[in-house]
Amino acid sequence: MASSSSLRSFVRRPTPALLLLGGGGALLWALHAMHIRVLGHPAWFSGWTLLVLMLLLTAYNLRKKLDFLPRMISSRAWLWAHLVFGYLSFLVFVLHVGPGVPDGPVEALLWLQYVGLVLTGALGHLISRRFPRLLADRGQEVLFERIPLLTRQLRERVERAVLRAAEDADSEAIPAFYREHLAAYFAGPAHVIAHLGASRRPVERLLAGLDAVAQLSGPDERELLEELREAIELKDDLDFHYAHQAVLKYWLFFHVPLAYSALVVTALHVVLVYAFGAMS
Amino acid sequence: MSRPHHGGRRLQLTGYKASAYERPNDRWSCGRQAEGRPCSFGPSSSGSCGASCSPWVRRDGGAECGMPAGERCGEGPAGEPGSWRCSQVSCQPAPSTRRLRGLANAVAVLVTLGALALGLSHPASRDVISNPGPLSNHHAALACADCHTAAVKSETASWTAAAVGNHGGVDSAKCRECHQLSAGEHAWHYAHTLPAATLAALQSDARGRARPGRRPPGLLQRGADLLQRAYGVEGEGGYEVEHEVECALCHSEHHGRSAPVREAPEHRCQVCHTARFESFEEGHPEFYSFGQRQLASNPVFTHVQHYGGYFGEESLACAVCHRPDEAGRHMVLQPSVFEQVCLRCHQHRVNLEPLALVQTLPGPARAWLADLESRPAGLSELPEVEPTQLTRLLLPDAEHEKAERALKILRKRFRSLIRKAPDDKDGDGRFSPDDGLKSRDLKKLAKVKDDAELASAYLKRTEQLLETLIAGDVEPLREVLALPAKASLEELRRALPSAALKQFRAAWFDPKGRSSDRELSIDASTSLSDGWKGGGRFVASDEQGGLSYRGYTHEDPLLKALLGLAPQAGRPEQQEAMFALFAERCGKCHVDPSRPAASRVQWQAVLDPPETARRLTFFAHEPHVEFESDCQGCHVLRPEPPAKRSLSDFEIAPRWRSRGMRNQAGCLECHTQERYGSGCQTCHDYHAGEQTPGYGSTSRVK
Repeated sequence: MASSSSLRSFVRRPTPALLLLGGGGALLWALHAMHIRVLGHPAWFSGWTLLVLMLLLTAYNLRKKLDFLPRMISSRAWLWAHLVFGYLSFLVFVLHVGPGVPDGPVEALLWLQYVGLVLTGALGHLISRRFPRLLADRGQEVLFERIPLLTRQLRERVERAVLRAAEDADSEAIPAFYREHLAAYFAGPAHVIAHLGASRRPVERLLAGLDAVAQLSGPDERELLEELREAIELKDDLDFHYAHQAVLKYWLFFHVPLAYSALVVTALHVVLVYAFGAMS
Repeated sequence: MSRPHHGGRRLQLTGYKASAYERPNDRWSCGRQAEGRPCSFGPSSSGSCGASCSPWVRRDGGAECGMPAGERCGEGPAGEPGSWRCSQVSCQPAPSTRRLRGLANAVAVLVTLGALALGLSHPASRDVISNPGPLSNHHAALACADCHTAAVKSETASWTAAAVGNHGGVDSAKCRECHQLSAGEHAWHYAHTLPAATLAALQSDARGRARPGRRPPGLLQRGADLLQRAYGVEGEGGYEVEHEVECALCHSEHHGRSAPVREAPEHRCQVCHTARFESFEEGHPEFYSFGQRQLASNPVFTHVQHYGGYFGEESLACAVCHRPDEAGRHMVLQPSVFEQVCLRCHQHRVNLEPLALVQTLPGPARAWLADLESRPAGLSELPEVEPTQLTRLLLPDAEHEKAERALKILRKRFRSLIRKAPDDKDGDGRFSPDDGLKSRDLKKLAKVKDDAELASAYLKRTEQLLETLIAGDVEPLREVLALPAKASLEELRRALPSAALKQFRAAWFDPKGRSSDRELSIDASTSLSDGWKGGGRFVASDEQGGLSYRGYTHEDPLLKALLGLAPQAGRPEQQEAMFALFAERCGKCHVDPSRPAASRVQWQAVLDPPETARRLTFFAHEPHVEFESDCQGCHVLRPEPPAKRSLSDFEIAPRWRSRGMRNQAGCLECHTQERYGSGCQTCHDYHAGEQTPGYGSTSRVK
């Protein structure tokens, strides 16, 4: 995957990115200071620079929809540039706005949108660095779209085992345990929050319950219980994948629409500045 | 570290037939995927279920699956001949995550556009949306269109036109509708509110004083210089002096109710001032004559004489006479300094003997001159007439001499007649032989008739002068004194109780009038119909034959108005005569004989305020006075008055002189960015003239 490799390079070999961030930041700050001296207005240079950076950053999303671009610029390079420009834009944003929230409603809305973009972007960068490694460490690879199918297959397997326990081994404890604890667990994604918090406590509680049932069961039932234990662990892996892959997919539902909305408000901001601003 | 697979089982099998063909990048996914039962067909690109088909009907009436070979479901069509249908139950495909993201983007853009369009469609909400922040308290009542040309129509389309065109922003002409500057009508648009030539001269002067050998500019400054050239602005001095400067370049609004609109950000100065120094601490040009001009005082008054002499033993505090002005910059006199301090010694300058304005002969004497054989009752001696200084000023000297000679002869003749006929024996009120006079004595009267006419004519002129003053029509003075057309006589006119003086004059020169009407005494306590409220007292009587005026207060309006005319008199001798009139009065302190006549009268005791207002550099005395608590810490009285009287009689204290008071070394002991500030506006003004924070156009205020 191009994106993960670029992320890896961004993380594991940070020198070029940090150099670019430091150098680019210093250059932008110097240009900003020079323009203040020349034009006497701090917002002109930083404003237009910020707009150009926002357009470049937004273009990364468009690039995914344009098939011919990969031949010109690789996706890896796009992502790398997106990360660097994103952090640089935060510096320019600070230079442009200064401390505090602007007073005007349009400017305040734009401030909120940009802060939201920075936070969701930084969060996305963080989870894009961390979650793939966590998923790889889990030892399984699962397509997100296949999780419902695999969940159903697991559920049917467990249901067959429970039926066998009831019919062949004449067990009452295992069907009762299934009805009370396992039916809901195998119905769909479970323990999402706990997985994101790296907690195994819910599944350990289930396994502990299964152990309690095992102590009251006979030899015929123990084989079935082992099968159930394996199914619970597999379902836990599925839930782990579901929780982390869902965050990886759905954080963009906040970041990208916010970027497009911010561009619309930015257009109005530019019109207002040039129609009413002191430096127009 | 990887976790082991549970029981060796893998969650996901990736074999050729074990793994379904997923299409996560398609716009649609199978509607049963969420249940974990996706079919192998998947939805079409248009979002319809791909699992069902239209059965193919054979010739024998049977039906075959409509799907291509290899994709058939194997169950075949369901139903009966004539109503064959696909046996598969179709699903409702669900949008894929990618499609949902696209929808979310579209919704975000549409919602934003819709909200903005809704807000911009109504004038009230449009003003709220376009307002970048609260106005300062001074401008809080203004509407958008009061400052912004683009807001006149208040239409969004006009905003765009203004933004794209060249008529956006803040219109400085609108600022001028309320704020006036004392500079010329158009100078407000220039840099520093100064005409281009003046600013160019200042710029040249500043460059000439630039300290040689300043340290080279830093990298940042070099970059700014490069950009400066890129923007077409050449030279160290910055913009061309003719460059128009909009008010909003420095005065920014919409930063809150209490935002300091008057104060400009420091970096705005460096738009034009690209002289290569970083700050006050680093490379500021050397001061050159700091601390001199401010101290120049009125040369009539010297501190050496007063502070060091008359008040020497009293150790009078400077604050008794001086205080900082409203801006805290210049030291000015206390409002009541004359009454509190000067009057201790100069009472006699105010409470003087009356100033004789007009002097003629008493009524009976004037009656004798009109008819030499008449014998006015009670007239035993023809009194002398000493022409007043004002009369001497207004009439040629030759007239005084002729009149004096004629009156001398007349006085001798009158005395002779009285001696020979002391009593009016026949009671006819005339000199006659029945009174004991000889015909020879009466014939001698015919010989002095010409002298009587001459004296009468002189007295008539004097009366006309009185009439001029009394009538309140002071315009004839303009002709007599050859005053320029622009000289205003309004102050003098206001200082005269015209109506009362007119009434007095009518009675004075009416021989049949009552004697009581021929006495006059008017002062501020007299109730007059014209509302005159003078500071002194007018006194006149027919018996004395003159009109005099006595001032009682400092800044008496009549005396001040008369002295104010002195420098404007047309002839030098008239000017000198006018000054002499006040030599022992106001002129003692307010007339500097060493100066040319035009600037000899100095009502201000210190530097003329307009002169200070035109300067771009100032020294704020107030904070320094509070800090030092003693003026003598900086200003030391010279042992003797300076030879050049225009210089101050104070000099910089040695302790400051030795520490470089005249350059920034002394200032830098306190004025750094960390301590008391070293910004440009600590010592420099942008506007050269006085500003009027007026609200002249009340229509602007809603």
